[in-house]
Amino acid sequence: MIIYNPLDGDALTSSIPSNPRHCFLMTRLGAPVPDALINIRDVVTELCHEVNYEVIDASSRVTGRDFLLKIWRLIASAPLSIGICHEEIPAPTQANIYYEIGVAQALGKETLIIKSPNATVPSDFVRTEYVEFDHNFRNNFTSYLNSLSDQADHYELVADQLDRNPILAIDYLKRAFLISGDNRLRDKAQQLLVEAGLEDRARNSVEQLAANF
Amino acid sequence: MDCRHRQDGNAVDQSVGFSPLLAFKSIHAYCTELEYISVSGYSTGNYIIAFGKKDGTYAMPTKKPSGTNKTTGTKKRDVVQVKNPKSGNYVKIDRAAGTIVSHKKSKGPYKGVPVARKSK
Repeated sequence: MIIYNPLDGDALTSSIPSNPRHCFLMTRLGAPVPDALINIRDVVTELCHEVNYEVIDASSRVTGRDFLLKIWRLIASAPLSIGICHEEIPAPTQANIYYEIGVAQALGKETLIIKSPNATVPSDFVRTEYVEFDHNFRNNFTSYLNSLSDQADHYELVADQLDRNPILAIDYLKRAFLISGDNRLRDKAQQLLVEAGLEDRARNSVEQLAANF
Repeated sequence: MDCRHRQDGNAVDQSVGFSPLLAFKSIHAYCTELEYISVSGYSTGNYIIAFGKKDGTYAMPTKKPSGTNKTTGTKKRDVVQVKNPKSGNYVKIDRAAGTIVSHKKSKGPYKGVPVARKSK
């Protein structure tokens, strides 16, 4: 997949290291963080750990470079992006979270909104999957995380049908790999590249960047 | 960007679809007096085509199936369908062309199209 740099509009020609079985959490990071948000974060982290998913956020990596580009790369590296929608999150921070959910959806990531019962989600997100942080949250969220493996199977199955369209098939395999962490899918992508006669392309070509995940 | 993604997680292939221009050219080949053609039903995939002269003669509505994945003549295409667990709907894939042909809007599989399953 070609990713364009949001700062200058040129294509990114360096590979983005994959973070399989990671969840990019979008919430308020700067102090003061309301207690309610700390609680949501703790529960999300705990439930993700139960299914071997690691939670990362914008403060997880220090690059010394542009903050927005770092967020893009973190979103692109992980299979799942979760945004929190809460009435105690200041409006500018909440707007940033919605922007990042949009970026994640455009990059083909699994997205989920965790909302407090009193929070209102904008109309553009009414079709985005959400889970309310209420007394059923643990069950609902765990159920969502477990459903991701079905989605990974689906992506692999679609990739298997698309061997005449190797770049698209490889992109589906990458998404399946990020969710499942199954290294077999990496080998499958490399095999597709060879079968399509694309293995001799430049190391930073679209084809090689797509397959070297 | 070589592929974009829909809400249900499947890539969008806009190269497969109904072309009003091609429809007009096809119809125009039979009747050179045609002055207009209008097409509706993009959202449902059940296209309603109205064409004729501006004075109202020849105007006749007709229904055209999307038909991009139909068997044409004796050449059979390698088309399968898979179920998207997120949307619960089926996705039709042309294996020979390597394209995602269409997404079913309603529940249930496409008729007459084999369902691809993961090999064990």
